[in-house]
Amino acid sequence: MVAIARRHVILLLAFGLLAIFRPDVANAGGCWTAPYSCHPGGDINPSTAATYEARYMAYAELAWRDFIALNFPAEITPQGKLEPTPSKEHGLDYHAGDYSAVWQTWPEARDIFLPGAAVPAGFGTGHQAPADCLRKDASGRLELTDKIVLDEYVQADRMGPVIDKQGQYVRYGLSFSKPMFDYITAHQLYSTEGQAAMDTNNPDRDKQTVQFPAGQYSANDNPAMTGSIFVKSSWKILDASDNKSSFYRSQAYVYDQAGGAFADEPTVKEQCSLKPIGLVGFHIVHLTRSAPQWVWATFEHVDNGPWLNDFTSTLKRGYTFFDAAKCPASGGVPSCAFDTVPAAPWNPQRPGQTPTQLVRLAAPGKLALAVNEQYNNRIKTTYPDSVWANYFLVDVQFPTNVKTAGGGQGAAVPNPAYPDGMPATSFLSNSTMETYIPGFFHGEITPSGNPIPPDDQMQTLPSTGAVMPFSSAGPHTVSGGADRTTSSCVSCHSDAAMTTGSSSDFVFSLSRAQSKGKLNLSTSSTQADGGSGARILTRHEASSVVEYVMGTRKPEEPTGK
Amino acid sequence: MIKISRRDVLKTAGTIGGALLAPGLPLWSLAEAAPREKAPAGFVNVSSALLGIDAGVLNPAIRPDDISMADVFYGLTVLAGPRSIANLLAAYDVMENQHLRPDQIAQALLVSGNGPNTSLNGAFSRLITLMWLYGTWYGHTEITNIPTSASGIAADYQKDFVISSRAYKSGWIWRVAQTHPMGFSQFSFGSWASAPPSLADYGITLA
Repeated sequence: MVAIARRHVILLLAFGLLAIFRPDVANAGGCWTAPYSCHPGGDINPSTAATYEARYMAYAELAWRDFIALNFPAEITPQGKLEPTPSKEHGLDYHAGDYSAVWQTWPEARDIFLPGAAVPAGFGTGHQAPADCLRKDASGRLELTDKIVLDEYVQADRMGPVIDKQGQYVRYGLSFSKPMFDYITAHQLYSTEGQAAMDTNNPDRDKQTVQFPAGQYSANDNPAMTGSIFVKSSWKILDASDNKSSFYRSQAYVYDQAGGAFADEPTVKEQCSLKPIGLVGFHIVHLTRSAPQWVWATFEHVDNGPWLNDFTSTLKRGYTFFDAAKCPASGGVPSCAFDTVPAAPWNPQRPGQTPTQLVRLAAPGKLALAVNEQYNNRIKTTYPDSVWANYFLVDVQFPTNVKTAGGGQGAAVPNPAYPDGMPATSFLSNSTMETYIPGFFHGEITPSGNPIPPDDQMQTLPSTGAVMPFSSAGPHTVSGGADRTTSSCVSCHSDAAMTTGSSSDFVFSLSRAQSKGKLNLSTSSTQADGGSGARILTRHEASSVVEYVMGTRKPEEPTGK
Repeated sequence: MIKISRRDVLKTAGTIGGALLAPGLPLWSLAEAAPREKAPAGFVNVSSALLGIDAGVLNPAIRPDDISMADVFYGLTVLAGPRSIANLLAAYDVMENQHLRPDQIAQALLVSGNGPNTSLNGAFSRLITLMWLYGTWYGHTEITNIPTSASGIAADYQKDFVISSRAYKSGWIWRVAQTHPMGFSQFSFGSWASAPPSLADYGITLA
């Protein structure tokens, strides 16, 4: 009897301790009890029905799961250091939306592709900040910081900056998940030498030797199966006039490189300061087994600007990048020029610059709106005061035509006939990151005077009424438009290449890799050119030019910097 | 009798395509008026028979933006000649019920004796084939070649026009030729240095 009683006591103690330390009990506010996992998904369920709506909804839900998981607060050690894992104590309502999210612990492009191809610091150990931002430690090495460094302000395609109502430029950041970081470091792809080694058996550079790890579906969101993700974020610098409580907020080093984003604007002086920032846009790019062209999703803050449709009724909001007082509706359209590229010079330090009058042209697709409705309701139910209720999925882009070995259950590979995967949606843009890339709209006419056919239009009927980003009842987008000439994530990134010239698996950043010898477009070549003066650019050189023109790549930094 | 196969049609279409795709063709000015309805299976199947391309490949269940070119093209034919397209689909149904092979159906619709089928079924078969190949409606060209076709084509559609940029990019002639349309390419920089994808990758099997 005594022995049995002791056993009962031990069992009770064991179960009691288990209950106390079970994550979902012990951490009531943390990700484990949220309505969503705090880990990104790995892929859509392979058993998803082979219909457009089912696939679309599955990818849109994957995007939302990723968005929520990545934006959970990062774990903080007792010493106050950020860890690259989701907090077990805090949820999406943590600190009124002013914190550091998991993805902010990921290395940024500037942490990986270092001058002189230096070996990157370990994953999650902090960010390399410019000398102007931080002091050197005792060993002479620049201290790492847990604050992200925002050093870009010109949009892709070199379209220019976006300027908020206070005259501040929107800032951009680019971060990479651990599977990507591990792959890059394992193969030394942060250096041109490592990239050349990758292509040793690819002399014609016509094979894609880079194969980032793809995520795989698991019913329990196994974090080991997440696969590769990279994110691009856009931020506004907050000041006293902003409605801060509506934004996800953080602190970042806002850095201007001397000479500007492309080292071609001498009026920009080197400058760095720690500033409060609010998230206005967020791209998530996720490689999965079902989507070898990656899954591209983008989110926005609801107050960035009005939709063009909204001018057919009364504007109901104050906007971050649109001043209705200076541009009231007239005849159902804005009375001012909108989405206009700011005048040069593009210098964020220049006072008195004209704010961008940002008008959203493309509304989310109907199915995106349906998923927004579902997730927004769940966020509001679980976290009534969360800032994340102010963000919506603009849309998602995924391949519709791939080859799958083994009858549909295996990993998909690109169909050589459709290397872009024939993506749907064919048009995808974020108003803060691809502001100046238009589509075609109902009512527009071609230069020859013909109306744009419906299957080329961005916006379907009804053409009036305000867009409701969390409801599928309002006007929505058909996501049409002409690929490449407008905005297709996949079509653009399919040209990304390593410094060797071979494909870099849709990741432009690999062309930022440096070596001790600098790339010189006028003389360097990875292929024999017969020594003649005139020759064809290698793929990498073309990609470098594209990146330079697109504003996704900076010129090589001066030696010693 | 000269047997005209689908291959002949495609080859001929490819040869004359450059001339037909005259620069400056307008866009479909009445596109907004087209019925937004699902193309009947008969339209997809007769298209498949005429082109020799599997119906599931022509009109896949999962497609960019969920826009079916079959729906777009069918909507156009309903405006261009409602009775003509209805008669064509009825004729197709009869032949299908007779268990004729797709190539036999195509032959019957496209050929009459030693020349082309000059009936309205022939006219709409050619127009449908060319829509799929070029994303272009060749009403004027059809009437120029066979004036009697005008009786089955509405006045607004007795001209040539590009149906849409999406229809142009989706033109099957580019895939038959294992290339890409002018002004748009799904291939990457430098792709011309490699062999083109196989016709099988496009889902194309020519007779």
